[in-house]
Amino acid sequence: MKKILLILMMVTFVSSIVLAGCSSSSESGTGETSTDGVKDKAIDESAKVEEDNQETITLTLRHTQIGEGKQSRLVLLEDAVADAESKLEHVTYELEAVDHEVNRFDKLPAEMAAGNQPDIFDLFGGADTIRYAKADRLLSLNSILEELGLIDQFIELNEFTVDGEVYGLPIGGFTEGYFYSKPIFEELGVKPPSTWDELEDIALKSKESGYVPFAMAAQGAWVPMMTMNTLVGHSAGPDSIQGLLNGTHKWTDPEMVSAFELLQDFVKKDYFKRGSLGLDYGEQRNQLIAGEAVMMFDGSWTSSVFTDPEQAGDMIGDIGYFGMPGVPNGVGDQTAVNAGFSNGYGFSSTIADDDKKLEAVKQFIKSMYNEEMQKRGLIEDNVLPSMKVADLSGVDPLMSEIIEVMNSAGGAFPAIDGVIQAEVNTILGEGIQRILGDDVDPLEMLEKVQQVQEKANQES
Amino acid sequence: MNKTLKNPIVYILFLLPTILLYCLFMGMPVIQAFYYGFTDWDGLNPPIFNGIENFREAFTDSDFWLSVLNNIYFILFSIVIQLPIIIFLSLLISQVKRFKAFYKTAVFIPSILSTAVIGILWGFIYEPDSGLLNQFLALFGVEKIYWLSDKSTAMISILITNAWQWTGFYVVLILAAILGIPKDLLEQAEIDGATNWNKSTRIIIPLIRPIIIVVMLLSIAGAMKALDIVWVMTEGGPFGTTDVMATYMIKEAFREYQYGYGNAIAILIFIFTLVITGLFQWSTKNNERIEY
Repeated sequence: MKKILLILMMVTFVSSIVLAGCSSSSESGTGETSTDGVKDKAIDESAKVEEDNQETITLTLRHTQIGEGKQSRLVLLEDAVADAESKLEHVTYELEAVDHEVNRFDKLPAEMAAGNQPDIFDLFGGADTIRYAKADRLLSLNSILEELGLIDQFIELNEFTVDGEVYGLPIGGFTEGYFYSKPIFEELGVKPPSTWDELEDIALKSKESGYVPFAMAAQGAWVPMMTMNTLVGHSAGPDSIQGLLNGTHKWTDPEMVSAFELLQDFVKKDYFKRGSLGLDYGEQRNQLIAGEAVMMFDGSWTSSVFTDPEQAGDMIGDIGYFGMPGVPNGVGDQTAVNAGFSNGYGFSSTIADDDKKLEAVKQFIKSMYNEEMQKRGLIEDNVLPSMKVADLSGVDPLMSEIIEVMNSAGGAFPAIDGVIQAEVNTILGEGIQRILGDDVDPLEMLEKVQQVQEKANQES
Repeated sequence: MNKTLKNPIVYILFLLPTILLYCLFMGMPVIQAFYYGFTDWDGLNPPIFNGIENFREAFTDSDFWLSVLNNIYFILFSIVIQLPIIIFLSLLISQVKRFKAFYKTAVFIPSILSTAVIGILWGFIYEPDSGLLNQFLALFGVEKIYWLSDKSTAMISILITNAWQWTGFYVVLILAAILGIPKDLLEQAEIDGATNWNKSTRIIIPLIRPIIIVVMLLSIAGAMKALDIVWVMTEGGPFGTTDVMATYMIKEAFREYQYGYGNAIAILIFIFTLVITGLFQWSTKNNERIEY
């Protein structure tokens, strides 16, 4: 009898452990929680719910605003969330900060694979959005935008649109070009170039005076890919990048090859900082701020660094901006720039069946995407608006220069890594790094890229 | 009670939670890896069975073989360069009369630091402009070396860092074995006129052979699954020249969304490790063990 009792007790013990281990972390539909702190909060909130007879919901919000450079953007996000929470009584947005690259390339893809993506998350348009939308992981926003009267308020939603459905909202726009050190330009007696020869002349003079002509930090392949992107857009034409997908353009086309040869030429002339392949992105702007480099090709988002006294130091007001001049024998309008609206927020498709969460998403969109926040983004964070903003007064002089270059551009082409498939992006990035390491012949490298491109096109 | 504890069902019941957890977190992922390794899977849409296509692709993929070669460099560096240094340091520390504990702690410290910390620390040492190494070499007129961004020096830089991290751990293992040798054996040798060199090569090293083999085995297994140090220091760069199998697997699976291919590489890492460690064990098992 004793023995049976003992065995029964043990079975109960073991089963309780197993069942406890298998139990779900979220309870009574109060939202998905991931940490003890959050659980505690959820429990506290449940108590309130019982009192008020209303259910509290928690939405997870993944953002990538980490580090000094993104401080202003984080403040804007926190203000939008606070506003949304004040409007909806029983809603909490749980902010989770993850490094941009980790989120885009590791964490979000893994969550998407498992189907447990956050409710609201940092999302890139183009290839990323297409991939997730086709796997039904993203919430279609058409009806929400219609309801909120926002459908016509965005300048462009192409990168987040798949088969007519909008799956994400860009937080801002970007363009890419050369930032330059005004004091060194003055010292060298040069002005922002309008032709390729003038750019080469400045690079040569910079080198002769002991400066690094172009700042570079190429540990991440996407950094030198920015320069390459505009070289391709100018050399092979603004339509060439999209043409790689439908086969009208090839990586091995002579115009495409000459774009890569221009980069190789810069390497051979020692125009980039040596050892750049071992440097992290942040090092690039440091080369310009420290007065080591004269010019730096980067995105408009970087301008916020040059207006922050803590980051720019003595260089405040001493950084200028110009677009990349047309390249020799370039195809199409040579004033075209790489510009787009590719980074913003996406929403989980799992929200579609949850009316309360849907309401919270609508409020988040209302609080985040409005003229006031867009204007604040432009003034406080130097991010180009993604929505139509009537009043552009009070803009920083550097930002004004960037807007001027954009306004005078004869067209735009998209970011390569937002258009081409992931596997092509990898081999291309590696190829560009090889060129920087003077390790490969551009044509030979591009032949391999084209092979992968054709395979990827067939598969998709 | 005694009768109860003799009942095997009792033991099975006690073991059950652990076995279940082991199966859930160890067995299942391994089985899943084997399953997905034979599929074309992008991580989002349902996997499609494609036979041995992933393995065929791996065997013709020059980048994969470069990563295998880098794993072999890890093994060779551990066995040919690191191990003699470990034995030499262990012999030195075993001979010191004072501050033995200090030396032991000093060599052991790197192995308790996290790899991320070590990566950053050595990143500073290798920094081309202001790094300690280049500044030291500049005293002898050596020109600036771009340790982590030049493909000819990046791999050796990682190997040195990795060796620095783990040498202390193995030194402590071997030191324990040396200190376990009966003193009278060494004293007898001294009376017979053996020099330090003779004592080390004829007595100490043969007697600690079993622990040396364990260290070699651990080094090989560690080298085959090397990942963190490469990821922290170069992420496989410049342009993939320092990729090891594990970093290549991560890139293929998570950067290119080829989860099927990534799983196939994981299987190959498993098989290669099994074969190499198996061969090593087989080649060392027949050697005579010296008892004392």
